[in-house]
Amino acid sequence: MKTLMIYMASATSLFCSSLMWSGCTLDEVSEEPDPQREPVAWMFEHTEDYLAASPTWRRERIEQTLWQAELGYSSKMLDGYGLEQEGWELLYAYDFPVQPLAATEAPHVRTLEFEGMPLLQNAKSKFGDDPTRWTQAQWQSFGEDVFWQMPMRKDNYFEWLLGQPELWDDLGLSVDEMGNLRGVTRYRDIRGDVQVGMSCALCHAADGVQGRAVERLDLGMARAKFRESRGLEADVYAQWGAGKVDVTDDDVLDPMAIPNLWGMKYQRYFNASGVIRVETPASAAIRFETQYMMNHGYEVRAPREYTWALAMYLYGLSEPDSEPMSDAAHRGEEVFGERCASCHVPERGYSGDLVTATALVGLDMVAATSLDRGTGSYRVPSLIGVGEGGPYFHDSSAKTLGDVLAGGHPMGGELDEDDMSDLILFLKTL
Amino acid sequence: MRVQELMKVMVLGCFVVMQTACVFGGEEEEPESWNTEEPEPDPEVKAVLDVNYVSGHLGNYSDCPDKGYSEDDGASAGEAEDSAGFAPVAGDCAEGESCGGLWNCEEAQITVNLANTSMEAATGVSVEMIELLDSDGMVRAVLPVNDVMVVGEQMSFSGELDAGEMVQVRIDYKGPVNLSELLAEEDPSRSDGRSAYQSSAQLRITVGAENADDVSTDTKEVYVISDVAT
Repeated sequence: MKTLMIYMASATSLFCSSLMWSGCTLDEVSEEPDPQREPVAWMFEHTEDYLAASPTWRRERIEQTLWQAELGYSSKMLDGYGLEQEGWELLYAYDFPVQPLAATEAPHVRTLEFEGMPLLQNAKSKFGDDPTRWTQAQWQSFGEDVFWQMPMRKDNYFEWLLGQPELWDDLGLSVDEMGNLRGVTRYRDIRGDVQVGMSCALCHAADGVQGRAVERLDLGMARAKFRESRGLEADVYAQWGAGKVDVTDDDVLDPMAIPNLWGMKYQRYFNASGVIRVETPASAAIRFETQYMMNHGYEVRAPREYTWALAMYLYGLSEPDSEPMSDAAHRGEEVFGERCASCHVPERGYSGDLVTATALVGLDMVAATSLDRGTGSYRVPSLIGVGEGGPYFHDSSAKTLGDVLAGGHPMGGELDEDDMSDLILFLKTL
Repeated sequence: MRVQELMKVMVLGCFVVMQTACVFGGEEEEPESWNTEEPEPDPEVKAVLDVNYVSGHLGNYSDCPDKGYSEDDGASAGEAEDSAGFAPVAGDCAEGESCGGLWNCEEAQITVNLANTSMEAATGVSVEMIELLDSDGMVRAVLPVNDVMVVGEQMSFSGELDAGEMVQVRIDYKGPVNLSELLAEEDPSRSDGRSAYQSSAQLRITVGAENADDVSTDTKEVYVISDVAT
C-alpha cells in the first residue's frame, strides 16, 4: 500500500507537470508505463523488444548505463557487450540444468547423481513455449526460479565449505524448510561437468525473506579458512567481515555491504558508488546478463529470458511490513522533511542521485575512488525498509540508526536528542 | 533562397568537392607496382578460413604459478601443457580426504567462431598461435595452446570444416602468470586510466589449415579472470 501511495503521488505529480509543460490534451497523453515508477509494467510491455533487440540497441543501452566508461569495470563490459559481429553477442546461450542441494547430501556432493532440469525449458513446460505470450505473473514466477536456482557463480572454496558442515552456522549458511542449503544449487556447466553454484538467494534471502541481505554470511572468512587449509596466506579475506563482499577487481581492500534488494525499484544507480546508472529497467537486465557471463568465465551467456525475468521479479519485490505511524513518528516526519528530504526524496522511495564523496563527513573514500568502480561519488540509498535493522552505509560502518545520526549524518548537521528520537521512529515506518 | 534552389546549390557543391578530391587523390601517390599485380594462384590453397573473436580471459594463476606462462617459458613456447590441476576442488576423491585443486587457479581460455567461407572443405584446421600484444600491438609472448574444444559438445575440435561451415570453439591455453612482467615496459597506470595494475591485454589468434592460408584476428582487451568480482 505504501508503495502504491508513493507511485500514485509521483504519477499524479508527473502527469500534472507533463500536462503543464507540454500543453497537450488528454487524448495525446501516452499510456506507456513510466520505466522509473512502474518498472514491472514497463518491462512486461517491452519484453518482445528486449528479446528481439539488435546488438546496436543493446550497445546503446549499456553505453548509457555505464556512464563512466573509463573505469575498469565499465571498460571490461564495454569491450565485450553489444558489439556487431563479434564479442559476447556470439556467445552460446546456455539453458542451465539446475537442482537444489540437500544439506545432508552436501558433504558428498561429488558422488551424487545429477537430475537437474534446464531452467527455461522447465518454465516453458509450465507456461508455454513462447515466452512472449507469458503473463506478467508468469514472468515474475520464472524470475523467482532464477533468483533461487540460477548459479551466479561457482568457487572451489565454496565447494570445499560444503564438506565442512561444522562451519556452516558460523559462516552464515542456512538450511530451508525443505532441508536444502539456501541459495546453493547444483548445475551442469557448458563443459558437461556438474558444479556447485551460489544463486542470488545465498546473499539476498536471509531467513528465506526474498531481498533481505544475509548479514551473517561471511564469504571472506570462508575463503580464508579454505586458504588456510591449503597452507596459503589468508589475511586479506579474513578482514572482509560478515555481510560484506569485496566485489571490485583490483588490489584494494574495499568490502561493501550486501544490500537489501527491495529498494532496487527506487534506485537510479546500482553499486554504492553509482557506477551503473539505471536509465530504464533494461539497465538492470543487462547488468545481470554481464554478471552471469563474467562469473561463468565468459564461456556462455544465459538466455536473455533469464535476466529479463530476474529483473522483473526483483523490481516487483515488496518490502517487509514496517512499524505503524505514531505521534512521535509524525514529528519525525517533519524533521525528515526539513533535514533529509532534499537528498532522500520521498517521491523516489526516499532515495536520490549521487553525492560527491568529498562532501560527506566520516565515510571512507576507498570505494568512491576505486579505479575499478569509483565515480567520485556515493549514491543516496533508498530508505525503504531501513527500520529492518543495520548495519548501514556501504561499508557497514554504522550498526544502528542511532549510530547513523549520532555525531551527525555524513552530510553534516546534528540533531538534538528529541528530534533524533522522533526521526528514528519515523524511519522505522518506511 | 527557396528550398529547391538551396538543394541544387548543395548538390553542385558536393559534386565539385568530389571532383576536386579525385584530382588531388590522383596527384598524390602512384600505386606501387606490387599492388597492381595479381597474386600467383596457389594450387594447394583452396579453402578460405575466417576467425572471429567471441570472448575469453587470461586465466588466473595466483595460486598455481607453475601452470601458467612466464618469461622463463619463452624458449618452450608453443608446447602444450597438461591442464590437470584445474579440476574442481573435491574431484572424485574419497570422503574426508583433503584433495582437489587450488583456488585462484583457472586456466585461460578464448572462444572464437571458426568459419570456412569457401566452397571447398578445409582439412587440418588448427590454432597455430596465440600471441600476447602490448598496447602498441607488438608481440610480447607466444602463449601455448593446450586444447581446442567444440563449445556445447564436450569434444575436441576435429580440424575439419565443411564448405560454408562455422563452429564455435573454446581454446584452452597457457595464460600469463604475471602480465606486468611480460608487458614490463608499460606504465602500469595506463594513460587511458583503465587500471592501476595490469590485468588486461590484447591477443592475436592465428588459425591455419592444410589447404588454406593462415588468418588472424586481434581480440578486444582480454582480462585476467578475477577471483571475486560480481
